[in-house]
Amino acid sequence: VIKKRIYYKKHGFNSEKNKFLTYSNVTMNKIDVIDFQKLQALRIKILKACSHSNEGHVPSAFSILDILYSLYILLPKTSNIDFTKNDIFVLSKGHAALALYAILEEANIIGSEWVDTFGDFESNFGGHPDMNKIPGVRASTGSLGHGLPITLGKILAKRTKKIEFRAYCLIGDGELNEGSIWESLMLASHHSMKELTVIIDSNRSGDRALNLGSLESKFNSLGFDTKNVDGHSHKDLVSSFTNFHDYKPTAVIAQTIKGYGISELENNPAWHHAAPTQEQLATFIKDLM
Amino acid sequence: VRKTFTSVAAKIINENKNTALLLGDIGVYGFRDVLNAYPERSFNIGILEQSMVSIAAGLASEGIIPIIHTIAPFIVERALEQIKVDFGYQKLPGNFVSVGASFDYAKLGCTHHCPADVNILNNIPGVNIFIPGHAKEFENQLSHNWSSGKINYYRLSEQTNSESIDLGLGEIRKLKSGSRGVLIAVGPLLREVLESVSELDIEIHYSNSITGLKSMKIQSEFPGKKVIIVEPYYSGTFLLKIIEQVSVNGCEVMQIGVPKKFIEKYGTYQEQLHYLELDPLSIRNSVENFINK
Repeated sequence: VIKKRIYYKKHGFNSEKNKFLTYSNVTMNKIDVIDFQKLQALRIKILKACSHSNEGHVPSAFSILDILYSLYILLPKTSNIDFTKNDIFVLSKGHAALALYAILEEANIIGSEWVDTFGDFESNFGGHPDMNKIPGVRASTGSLGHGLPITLGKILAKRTKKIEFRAYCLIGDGELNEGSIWESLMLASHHSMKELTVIIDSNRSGDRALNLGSLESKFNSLGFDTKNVDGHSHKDLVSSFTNFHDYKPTAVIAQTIKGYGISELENNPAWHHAAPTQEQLATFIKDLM
Repeated sequence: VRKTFTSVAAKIINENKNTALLLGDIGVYGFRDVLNAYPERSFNIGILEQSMVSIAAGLASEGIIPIIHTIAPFIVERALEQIKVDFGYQKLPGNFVSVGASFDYAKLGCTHHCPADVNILNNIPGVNIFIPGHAKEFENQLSHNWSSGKINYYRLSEQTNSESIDLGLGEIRKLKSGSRGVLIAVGPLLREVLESVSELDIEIHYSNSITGLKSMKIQSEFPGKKVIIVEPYYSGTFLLKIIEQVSVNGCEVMQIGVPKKFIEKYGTYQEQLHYLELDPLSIRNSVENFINK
């Protein structure tokens, strides 16, 4: 608990820290600390995989790790969500694949081989996920702006089969530059896709090119039920993933920090597509341990 | 051809629950009965072709085979990356039915022309391209291939040949014998070919599709060692499919197709054919010059 408190203080998460301090349930604290330790271990694996191949987008992966952990690990504990069955998750910002691989392993959908083979010639695990190679990957993303409309198609298909399901699609705020995303947002609203939750990884990395201003007002105006949450708060994320509107699609604007977890990586554009040296890897692992 | 599309697609949608129809705000009136009867599987998606193609891929990824329809450049050129990645790379089946072909919309100008579609799509591994020369040919092609598990592109044109010739995918059929050369006509330009050179002493073959495979087979002894390919789009793709056979037989090749230039003229389809030297007289002159050379 103390370690976590120091961690959040170090990383300046006042809102999260406050929430943490207000937790009165001891069990919740315990679970939270276990999750924290697991996430630190996942961060180490991501760094090792990236270092192994000298490839990967670690800050983007760290930006969404809590979101994926909440979706795949925590949400199924309190709901009937099961991404190995009817429920859908599509990682539209495919360059954050390292986080997806880490979480798929944590959810026992894949093994641990991704860490030591990431980016290798014969590996199933490339810099962007391939749905024909990796169990649990529902779309081969990488080119931005594809994953959301693919998710819409999956929703339409599921509807024809009269199956109960939820569909989650994670997009980046930089990805919101793509016209196909806005096309799809309009379509999701028009077709009352209440089954859909669009999660926006709002790490503000897109601002240097195109500052979109208030995402909340934009999603609201498009007909979404919009929630603005701390993208590193499991409690807020799980809550936002389980509350839906009767007919509107849901947008969860997750306020995140790119590179979250290692101060040198946080909001540091130099690390966007860079791999740690062996020396840097050792330092980062020491920080995370 | 459009009416045939409407009736065949309606039959497919009607008889198969694992199908879907997606319109890019084109053909909506023609498909009104289907749209009303199957609102859960048939959609006028709107004028957003990129999303339409990706949505279709999403449907395909869940076992619903899509038929996607709009004007040729808006599918092939605007949403090319979606076809390449979401269908091609992901290995998903789909049926793309375009209208307008190279310059059917002659009076509307270059924005609605698409002479590049066949060459462009041939760059996506595994795509089968259908270039029907007659409504009946298209009916057979769509009926037999919609569930083939492949990416199928059907290039509809309002211009058709006088008779239907029913061919299998990738088939090249000899229509006439001759001794001074071999001419292969593709799709609806067979009409102009037959009108112009059927009396010449050349073999005439016909094809209305291009497979995603590397090569196609032409049944010929290659008399005269001269090969003429007449395509109703930018030349190139068909030659690639027979190049090994043609070179092994030591043939000289002439390609007749839509010239690579923006057609900054309007008028009628026939006027454009003449302007582009694809009218019967121009084709005859080109062929005669070539075989007499």
